[in-house]
Amino acid sequence: MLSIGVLSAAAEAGVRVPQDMGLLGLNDMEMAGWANINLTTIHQPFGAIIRSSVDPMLAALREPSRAPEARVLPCRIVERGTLRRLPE
Amino acid sequence: MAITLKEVAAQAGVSRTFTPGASVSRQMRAKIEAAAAALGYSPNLLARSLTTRKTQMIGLVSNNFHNPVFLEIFDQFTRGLQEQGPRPLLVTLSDETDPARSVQLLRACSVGGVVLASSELPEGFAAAFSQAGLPVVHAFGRTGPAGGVNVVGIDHVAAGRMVAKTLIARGHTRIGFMGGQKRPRPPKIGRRGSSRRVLQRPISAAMMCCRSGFCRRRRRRG
Repeated sequence: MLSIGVLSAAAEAGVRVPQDMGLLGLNDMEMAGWANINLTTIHQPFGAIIRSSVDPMLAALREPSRAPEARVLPCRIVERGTLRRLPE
Repeated sequence: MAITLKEVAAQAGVSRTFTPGASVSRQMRAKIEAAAAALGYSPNLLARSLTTRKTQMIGLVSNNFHNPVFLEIFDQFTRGLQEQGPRPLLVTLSDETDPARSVQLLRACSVGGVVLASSELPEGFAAAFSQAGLPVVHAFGRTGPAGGVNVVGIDHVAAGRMVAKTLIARGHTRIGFMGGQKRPRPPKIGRRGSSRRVLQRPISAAMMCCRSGFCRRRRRRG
C-alpha cells in the first residue's frame, strides 16, 4: 500500500520509475499486479501463512497441552515493472 | 419464528435431540437429521455457547485493518476456519497499548483461541493472550526463540538479505527504506537483513518511517 503511495508521489514529482528511481514493495497484494501499478514486490504467501495459522489453532483447541510451534514460509521477489532488470 | 430442537425432536418422534459428536445410533441420527432438514432447523451457535461456555469462535486480532491487504487475509482466514467449524470474530488493536484490556474483551466474547495477524504487534500482546489460557497463533510474526505461542511467518532476515542482494546486483547505490507503521521501529525485513548487507559496500542506506500510517496527507507547497 505504501508503495502505491510512493508511485503516486513519484508521478506527481516527475520522477520516472524505474529509470530515475527503483521501487521494491512488500506483500504482493492483489492490486500490485494491476497494469497501472505493476509493482515489483516481495511476495508474502498470505494464503499459506493463514492456512498454516489455522492448523495449529485447531490442533491447540483439540489438545490444549500441545507445545507451540514455529513455521517459517518462503518468500520470493515478483518481477514487474518498478525495479530495473539485471544489467546485460 | 426459528425452529427449536424441541420441535425437531417431536417431528422425529424422539424424546430429545443431540449435539454433534454425541453417541447415538446411526438410525436415530438419520431420523433426527431428516426431521431437522424437513423443518428447516439450523442450530443457534450463540445460544448454544451460553450453555457450553464455548462459542466456537476464534478471535482474529490485528492492528492493521486499514491496510487493504487485510481483506485477502480475512477472506483466507474465514474460509480456513469455516471449513472446520469455528467462526471468526474480529478485534482491532489499532491504538491499543494495554494487553490486559484486549484479553478482557476477548474473554468477554468467550473465544476459544486467538489468531494475531500483524507483523508489528506491540510488545507483550501475544504473551498476554497466552497467559490468559487462550491458544495463540501469531501470524506474520517473527519466528525467533519460542515465546510460548505458535508463530507463522516468513524469515524477515533472509528476506532482507534477498532484497539487499537484488538491489546491489542491479547497480543501485543509494538505497532507502520506508516503513508504514506509526511506531518508530521499522520492520526487520528492511532493517537488519538489508542494512547489514548494505554496510559491507560503499552504498548509502537511509530509513524513513511514515508516522501517520498509510494515508499521510499531502502538505501544501509554497
